This record gives sequence, structure tokens and C-alpha cells, in this order.
Amino acid sequence: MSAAYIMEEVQTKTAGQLEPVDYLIIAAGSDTRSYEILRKYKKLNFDLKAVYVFEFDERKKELTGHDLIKHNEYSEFGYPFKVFKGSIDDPKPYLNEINSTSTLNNDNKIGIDLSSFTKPFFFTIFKFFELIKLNHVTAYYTEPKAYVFNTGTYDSYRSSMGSHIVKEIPSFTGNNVADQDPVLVILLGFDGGLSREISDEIGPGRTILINGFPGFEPEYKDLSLINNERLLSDESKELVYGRANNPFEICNVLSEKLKEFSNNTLINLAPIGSKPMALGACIYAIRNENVRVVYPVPDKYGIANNSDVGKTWGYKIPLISE
Amino acid sequence: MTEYLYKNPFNDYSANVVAPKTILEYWCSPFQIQKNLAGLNETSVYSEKNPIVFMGGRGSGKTMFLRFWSYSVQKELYLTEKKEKNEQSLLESILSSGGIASYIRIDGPALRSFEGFGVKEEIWDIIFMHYFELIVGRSFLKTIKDLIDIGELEKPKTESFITGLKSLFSLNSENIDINNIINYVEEEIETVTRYRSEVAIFESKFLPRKLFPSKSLSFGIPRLCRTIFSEFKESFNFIILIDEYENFMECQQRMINSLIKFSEEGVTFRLGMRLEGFRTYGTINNDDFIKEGRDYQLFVFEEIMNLNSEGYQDYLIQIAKKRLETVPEFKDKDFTDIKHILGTREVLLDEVLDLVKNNRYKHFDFFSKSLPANAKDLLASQNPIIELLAIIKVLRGDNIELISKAVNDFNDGIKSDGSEKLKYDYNNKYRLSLTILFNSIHRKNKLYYSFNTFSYLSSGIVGHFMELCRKSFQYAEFEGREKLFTEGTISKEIQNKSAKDIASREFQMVRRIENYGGEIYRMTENLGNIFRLYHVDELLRYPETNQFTVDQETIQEPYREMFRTAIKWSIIQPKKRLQHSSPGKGRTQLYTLNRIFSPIFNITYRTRGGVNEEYKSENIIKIMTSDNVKPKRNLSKRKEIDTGQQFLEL
Repeated sequence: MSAAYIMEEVQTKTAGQLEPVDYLIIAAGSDTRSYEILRKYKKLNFDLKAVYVFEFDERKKELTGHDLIKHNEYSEFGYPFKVFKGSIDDPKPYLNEINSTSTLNNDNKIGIDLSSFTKPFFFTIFKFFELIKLNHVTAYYTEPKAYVFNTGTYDSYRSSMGSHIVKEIPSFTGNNVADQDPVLVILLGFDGGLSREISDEIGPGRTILINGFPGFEPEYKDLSLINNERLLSDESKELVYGRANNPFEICNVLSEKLKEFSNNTLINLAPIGSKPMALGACIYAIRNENVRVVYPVPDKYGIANNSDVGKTWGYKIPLISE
Repeated sequence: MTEYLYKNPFNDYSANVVAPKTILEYWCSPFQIQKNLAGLNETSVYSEKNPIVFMGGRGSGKTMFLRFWSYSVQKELYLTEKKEKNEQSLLESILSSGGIASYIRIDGPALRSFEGFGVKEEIWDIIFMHYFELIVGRSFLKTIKDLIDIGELEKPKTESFITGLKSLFSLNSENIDINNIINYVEEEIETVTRYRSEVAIFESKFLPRKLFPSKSLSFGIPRLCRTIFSEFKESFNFIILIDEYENFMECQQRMINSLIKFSEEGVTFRLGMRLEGFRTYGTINNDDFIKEGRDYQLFVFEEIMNLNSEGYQDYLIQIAKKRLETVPEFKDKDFTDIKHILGTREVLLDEVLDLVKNNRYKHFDFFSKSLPANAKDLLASQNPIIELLAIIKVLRGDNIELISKAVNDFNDGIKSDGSEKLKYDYNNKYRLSLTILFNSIHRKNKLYYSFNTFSYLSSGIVGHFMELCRKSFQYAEFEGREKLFTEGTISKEIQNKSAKDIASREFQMVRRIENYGGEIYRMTENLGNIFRLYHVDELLRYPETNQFTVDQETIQEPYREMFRTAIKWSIIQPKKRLQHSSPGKGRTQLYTLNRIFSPIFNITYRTRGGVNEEYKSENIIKIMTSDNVKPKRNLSKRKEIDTGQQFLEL
């Protein structure tokens, strides 16, 4: 299955091909990126019937002063908003509550900004979108201006400072599969330790590594290879490339690479690369029930303080297979 | 040379899924090297009635070990090695071994999904037990089916067996064979998987066709086998091999612990897990718990491997040989001895001679303010290490004339009390410490190379040794091709670079440890730096100190749990027996910092007896929570010299 798609950079002077949405789901955060889409909507004079804000207890309780003010900025754009509160680890109550608004249907245009959502959380939201039979949604993503390398060296990159537990993303359990060596597909990020950890947990018979190329910066594709050297030496691995900012291409790469495996193979997808890559994996996973999605969930969440934002991308995601 | 065919012989293979044939190709049973490992022998793995727990660090070879005993690997072994020369059939071979084993591995993410989403804990427990029974049942059924398919079990009896299974699974249809029953089990497992998926988003009901409680299949199928197939005598074991038991959540371990405690005749368990992998010793009955010795036997991989350093090294050589033989370039040229490729052991004198090449007397300059004018009498023209030893003896207060005479006698090959003592200290006590100190004086890092050094660095964890080799071969392929492919050797510089890389990567991984990664990382860093200070002590009062003592039970929570987690991940390794904490002191539990980290801190790669850091709960807490913790002994003043060094061991 290949996806025909709309993907474009969201500008502030002229509206592009992507139509504005009626309802926009965002995650509250102290990062400047968190509300960049609202800033852009405002500049484009787009209306919104409501902004649905997912507020996470774990994130908010860490914030004080300026960070807390930034976290609450969603209320200052003049759009009607409704806040849903709960835990970042459990999407179920949010989804039940948002479902009760009866606004998420094909009569309305639904959008979601992925910038401040954790990957496991937005995966489950997309599964929910599929289960409530939305035809399509518009996903937005604002890039960070740069990644932070703690000690200044590229191999020092850590996606988070704490420890992790590798878990299944809720609702992406895959199929029961017997006596078939599991396949592990890792969408590579810079943090080589994470991929090794996931590989140790799954114990795959075959590993497919997808590296983002071109990346957001030219050298990024090499960094993810250098930092994942250990995994690249695995006898059973295969390395392929897909654009780091293009979920549709990632979805197509996955379709192409995984078509040789029957439904009796448990495919484990680990989307630890960029969020657009993860979105591509998500599109693939919701269309293929034998795919299990695993992710290293951190035991605590830090405060994101990126002051600069990069480009904002919009993607029209078809949820019904064509 | 067909270079394009070359592949690194130590490249990774996932032990969890590697094909039975590959296990036999790449792995060798430790029993091939030592018939008896701490009371455990090849026969008892099958015939022992009591459950056996195998603990070991990541990469210690637990999975290969467990899988080796599984039916699929034993069948492959029979077909490739035993069939031709053996009069026995496969079944006879299995029966004579005393047991048949099913390998079970449920990965961590799956195990962790049996909780949450507003479902009550007791409901999850029931669902998990049902799931576990189905997984074990499926494994047993597939083994029996295979034995039927290849004609090892009598066809007429299989009809009765199917009838028994129909009753066990409450199936009424007429035309049912064992494949239908296996499919039924598969579908029921799928029902659990689907429920786990649905309940994460919406309210969902768990609706299996039949709920299988504890023991129903895991004990029920072996019981049925024994009833129908008289070949399986009472003494024959159906063995459930469970790998990665540490991944089971506490409530899940309680359920399996109950099976272990209340197992039936003819069904037993072999568990593989990390050190400290029991999250609980409890059972589902609040009053009962499982106890080592009474309910299970415990074997710790690193301890078994370290019982006899030569045995461990022989084992590494065998495993390396198997891998090297898979590469034609090495096999054809007979480059299959890893000792030859890496060098048997390091040559410390050469290393020091390299160091002093451009500044021959720097060690004299370094100590010049503390040495008398006639210090030049300590010169030993060929051996700077002897000179540094002599310098330190003088700094410690020995008479310079006597030391000088001992040095001269040593140089001239004259046996005198002084030269013999010097020789003894040089050979048996201080040579490595002096080399490390030499490096410190020259502001260089110690080199880590040779088979002996790698085997010590691996700390009883075979995977560490493989990784050190893998990295060395990887670098050698690009930076030392000529030596590798024509001489069959890898330079010490490449080996050292690999050892540092692996040490650094393992160190970074500490931070990621599930729960308490930060505290354990700080603990590792502090311990390494503390031991480093012992190694650069200018008087070498406590050479090669890399151990500490603490009574784990006295450590305050949650730090005790952190400490246990550090053991679980083999960051620190307990010594098997209680030992003297320091000469003249009582016996206590000793712990060593995993030696894989040694290259980071430039400390010894082996473990010596002698003095140790002695810790109490508050010291451990400080080490886990503070930066730059100092040794408990004052190393800054040149006095209080302890003399006791006891023995060397791997």
C-alpha cells in the first residue's frame, strides 16, 4: 500500500493546500514549539471551533515561574479551548472524555499538533482516530531549531536523562505469533543506547534499521549511524533510508520492506527517530494489525526549553486505506 | 584472498532466536570444558527434580545455556552429532537424558502490558495466568506433535492422547487432531492479545472460550503424556525453561513462584534471570515463599565461570575458536586461536619502555624532592619498573643502600635476600600497579590488551569478551588489515582502543538502567574514581584495590533496592563466599566494580585480595547521591603502610 499525500510547510503569509481544521488537539508544554501552530493559525487568520488541550500532570508539576506561564499560553490566542487533564502514561481517560464531546467526526475537520505530544501518546490517539472511523486528519509538527548535545560531542546525545522501560504502546500489541522469529524495525535516532536496549528486549531474528535521510541537517544521518554502530554490526540487520521529515515516505518504505513478511510474523516497530518518521510508522501500524509498537518510556519527563523553533510542517493523513 | 567474503566472526547474534543449528555452530556447553560446575553436571540439568535457577549478568550466556537444553536444540544435536554413531532413536536419547525441555521467553514489553487501563489487578492476574498456561501448553503440544510426526511416539496411542486433550480443552467436535488443538491454543492466545489492545482505548470484556487456571496446561499436559505414553516414566521430567525471569512483574513472579513451590512429580522448572532477578520470593499464598536450597537450587553464572580461571579461559578459547572457524580466511590459515590473535598476556615492561622512550628518567624527576642525592644508585638500566619499585621502597623508608644493592644483584642475576624479595614483589605483587603508576607519572592511560586482560575485563560475562573481540576485529579490519590477515594478530593499540570504547559504552548504558539509572551511574563513577585514587597513590600502599565491603541488609531503603539493581545489572559483582574485608579482619561480603569499566578509570583489570573500602549504609548513600566522593583511607600522607596482599584471582 502506497500513500498519496499532502505535505507542506505551514507559512504565515499565505495559506497552502492544507485547509484549516475546525478542531485542533494539542499538548500543553513549556517549549516554544508547543503553540507555534496557534501562532501561525493566528497570523493566517484561520478560525478554530475549539482547541482541545491535553495537559499532563507529570509535565505541569515540574514547572514553575516563566516555564509555567509558557505552559499556560494556549489560552492567550483567543481561540475557544477545552482542557483535558490526566497522566501522560494513560491516554484512555482523555480519549473517553474527548469522545464524549461528539465533535470528532467526519463532519468536522480534525487536526493534531504532534510537537509536544510524546510519541506513545500520539500513536494511541491515531489508533483512536481510526477506531472512531475518521477518514483523515491533519497533523502538524514544528521542528526544533537544533538538538542539544550535552557535552558538545555528537555521541553524547541522550533523548532524555533518566532511565527507561521498554513498553508496548497502548493498543499496538500486534498479533499473537508463534514460532516465528520477531522482526524489529527501528526508526533510528541519535541515541544509540536506546536502540540497543530495545533490541535486547525484543531479541529479534532480523532487524531493519531506517535512517532519516535527508535529515533536518546534512550531518544528522551520519550521527545516527555513528551512534548506532553496535546495532549496525548485527549480522541480521539491514539498513534503509527514508526522509526524516516525511511520514508518507517512511510509511512507504515500511510497506516495501515488510511486504515479504506474512501476517504470521510479529513486526516490532520502534519509532525512536524524528516525530515525522514516527508518524509514518504510526500510519503503517494502524493499517497492519500484526505490527506491535514498542517504545522506551522514560521514568521521568524533563522540561523542554527550546527557545527557537524550526519549520512547521502540515500533513494530511488518510486513515482509511485507499 | 577473497576479502569480500570476510565477516567479523564476533558479530552479534541474538541468542533468543538464533536457529538451533547456529547455537551448535557458535556456542559450546560449559560442560564440555568442565564436567562439573559447582555441583551441577550435564545430567542433572534434565534429571534434577528440584527447580534450578540460573542467574547471570547481561551477556553471561544464560539464554544460550537455557536454549541448549530445549527440545529443538537437542533434536538438532541428535541429528547432527549422535544419529549416525548412535543406536538410540531420538526418543530413546531423550528418555535416557531424563527430561524434555520447553523454552519459554515472554518479552518484557508483553509482560508489562498486563496492568493498567482501569482493569483491576486481580483480573489482570487471572488473564496473565491463563496466558502463561496457554504459552506453556502450546510449547509442550508442539514438542509432542513433532515426536508424533517423526514417528517417535506410537500412532495408536496418539488417538488416546487427542481424546485426553479434548477433555482438557473441553472440545466436543469429532474430527480433531493435534493441529486443531494447537490452532485452538493459538486463537486463545490471540484473544488475550486482542484484549490487551482494545482495553487500552475503550472499555472491553475479556471473553475466552475457556479460562485456563494455574497448572491446568503446564502440569495437565505432562500428566496426560505420562498417562498415555508409558515411555515417560515417573522419574522423567517435563521441564519448563523460563528465560528472562527478571522481566516478570512482581505479581507475575508470585504466580510462577507458586508453581515452583507446589510443582508436581515429573514437572520441574529451570529459570534464567539476572542477578537479583527475583522481584519477590512470595507466592500467591501470603504465608508461603520460595527459599533457595529448599525449593530451588541456585547457580550464578559468573561464579561458576570464575571457579577456575583456567576453565573460564579455556571456555572463551573454545567459543572464539568456533566463531573464527566460520570465517574461511581464518580457518584456512589456521588463525583460530584467539590467544595467538590477541597475544597471550600483556608485556608490561615493553609498555613501560615505550612510555619512557622520550623521557627515560621522568620517574626519578617526579620523586626527586623526596629522594636522597644518591637515588641514581637505584638505576636498573633495562628495567624502569624495577627502578620505580626501588624508589617506592626507599620512599617508604627502606635503606637506600640495601635497596640499591638488591637492584644491582637483580640486574646481575645474583640471588641475594634483597634481590629475591625485589623479584618476588616485582613478579607477584606490584608489576601491574607500578605500570599503572608509571602511566600516571607520564600522564598517559594504561593500555588494555591481550587475551588474558580481555578475559579478566569480561568479569565472567562471556558476552563482554565477545564484544571486546568484536570491536577489536572491527577496528583491525580497517586499521590493521595486514597484521590480521597475514599474521593473524591484532595490535595492542587496536585492542586498547576497543577496550576503551566498550568500557565507555557500558558506562553510558548504566544511566539507562530501569529505575535508579542515575544513582547507579553516580555510584559507578564514584567507585571508579575512588579506586583510581588508590592506583595513583605514590606509595602504592594498597595496590590494585577495586573491592568494597558492605552488609547489604543494613542499607537504608530505597538505596538498598538501588544497590540490588546495580547487582542485577552486574555493575557491581558480589564475591561468592564471605571473605576477609582486610587482613586480620572478620569475614564479610565483598563486592567488585565490574572490571569492564577498568579502562575508563585506568585501574586494574583483575581482583586481588588485600584491603578494601569498608562501607556502611551512609557511605553507600553518599556514593549514590554525591559527586567526587573520596576514599575512606587517607591516601595523601606517606605513612601507615599495610603489608597484606593475599592472592591473585580471576
